[in-house]
Amino acid sequence: MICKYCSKPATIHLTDIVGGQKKITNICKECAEAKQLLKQSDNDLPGILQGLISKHIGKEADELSKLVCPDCGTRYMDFRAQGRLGCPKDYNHFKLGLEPLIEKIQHSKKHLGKIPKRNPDLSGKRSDEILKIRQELKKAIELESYEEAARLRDLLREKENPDEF
Amino acid sequence: MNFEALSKSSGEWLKGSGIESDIVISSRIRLARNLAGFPFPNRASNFQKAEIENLLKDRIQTLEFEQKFEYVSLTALNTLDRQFLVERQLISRELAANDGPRGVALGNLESLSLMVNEEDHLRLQVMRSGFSLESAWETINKLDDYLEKKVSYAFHEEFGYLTACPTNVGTGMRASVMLHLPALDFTKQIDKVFRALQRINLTHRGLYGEGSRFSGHFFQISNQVTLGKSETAILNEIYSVIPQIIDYERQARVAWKKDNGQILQDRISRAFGTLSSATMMTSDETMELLSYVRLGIHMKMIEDVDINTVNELFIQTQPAHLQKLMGSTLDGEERNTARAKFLRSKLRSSGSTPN
Repeated sequence: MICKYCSKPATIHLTDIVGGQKKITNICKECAEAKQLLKQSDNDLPGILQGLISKHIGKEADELSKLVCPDCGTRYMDFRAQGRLGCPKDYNHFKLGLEPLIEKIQHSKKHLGKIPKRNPDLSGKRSDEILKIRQELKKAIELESYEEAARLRDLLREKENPDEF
Repeated sequence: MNFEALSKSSGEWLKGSGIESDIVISSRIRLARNLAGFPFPNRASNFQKAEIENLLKDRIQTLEFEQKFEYVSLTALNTLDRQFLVERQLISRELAANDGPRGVALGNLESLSLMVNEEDHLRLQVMRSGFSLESAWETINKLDDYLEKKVSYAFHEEFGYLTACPTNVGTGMRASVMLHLPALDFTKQIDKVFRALQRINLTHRGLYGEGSRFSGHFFQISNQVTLGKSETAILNEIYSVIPQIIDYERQARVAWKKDNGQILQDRISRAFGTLSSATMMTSDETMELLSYVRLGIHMKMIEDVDINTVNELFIQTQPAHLQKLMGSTLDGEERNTARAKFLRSKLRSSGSTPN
């Protein structure tokens, strides 16, 4: 089969239905591009495949499957398999997937109940700090640097009980 | 903690006192709380779980609350003692079955228990005999306030109290009322009640919670949703529906007696007869028969049987309690013999059916 325009081998076969009649146009890739007979995306095979994949499993699912909590190491997919989250920070790191899920099971996504009167850790900032100190403390114990460990332990106590200091 | 002494009483939840206690056995509220900066128990190493346990144990024991707490480490208990605490509803089956450092702080009145390293770091529980969620909420809310001064709870502006499972997030509150509904169950109207409950986001469970069977016609009604409503709003939803269920059960009892009085009387008398003369009894059969005797007492269709004795028997005939009372470990068949003997001795001394 040769191209309708330049007689080179035709690799593209466009089918049109005109007035109930099927009409096939055989053209080569160069002419098709020159005459803009193809949409850019039709010509891009990996792009087409990607499109098909995300159409079937969902672009979000693909994104969610890559989510990992940097604090506790739990993957979003672990949570979906086991139904249990790994740490409080997961609620931030997995928000993309969790929010719609919470809305589905709870019929709401906004807490209207009690709020801790003291020590509310609203930003999660303090828990970040505590987590970091605790990791350092663990390392200090492993390295047997006990002076550093004692310092970190006191710091940890202070952070955990801001009222007592 | 002296479990042997405890085994002789029924504990708070089967005391059989309180409001509407002929139908409402007990009211319970649980709050799920977690510490900021620690992974949830399912993700925590044993080292971290020990840290969580030590921290919470220390804070709970030094709490200046109206009750003092005694901390019991689950790892120090044998299977029988763990089962004993499950039967008394002081701990969940999950806490008994988990592994690693975990435990329970028990209040001295047996109506408060704080589970450590269950599904969440901390599960506060308050139990009341009869229908009294309001008083249970008052106590647990106060206890929670005291604790939050001592620890940093994991709390999120949008999602509220953070929990290992998103089905508990928000208030972290599960309020439940345990009902004895033999008439609705027997006349098959109970499914209608359950369907109606589901429409208003209330759920039902068996005697020992999630996944447990409906034994002895006991049913727990609790809230399904924990987010998007205040604690009081959730409690009010339960409060508004329980009196209706109580009413249905009372009506079903009256209709049952009116339409099939002879059959009902026979069933109750046979239940009492079997309980006070059989030589082997499984715990399932015991629950079923005690349920009819309990119904018989409240419907005045059986005389001279003390309701407290029956309420106590519900718990004392459970496997771990029975073994505590007998003072030795018993296998299945030995238990059935011991259970029958125990029932005979408790019931024979009293009880007769009117002619």
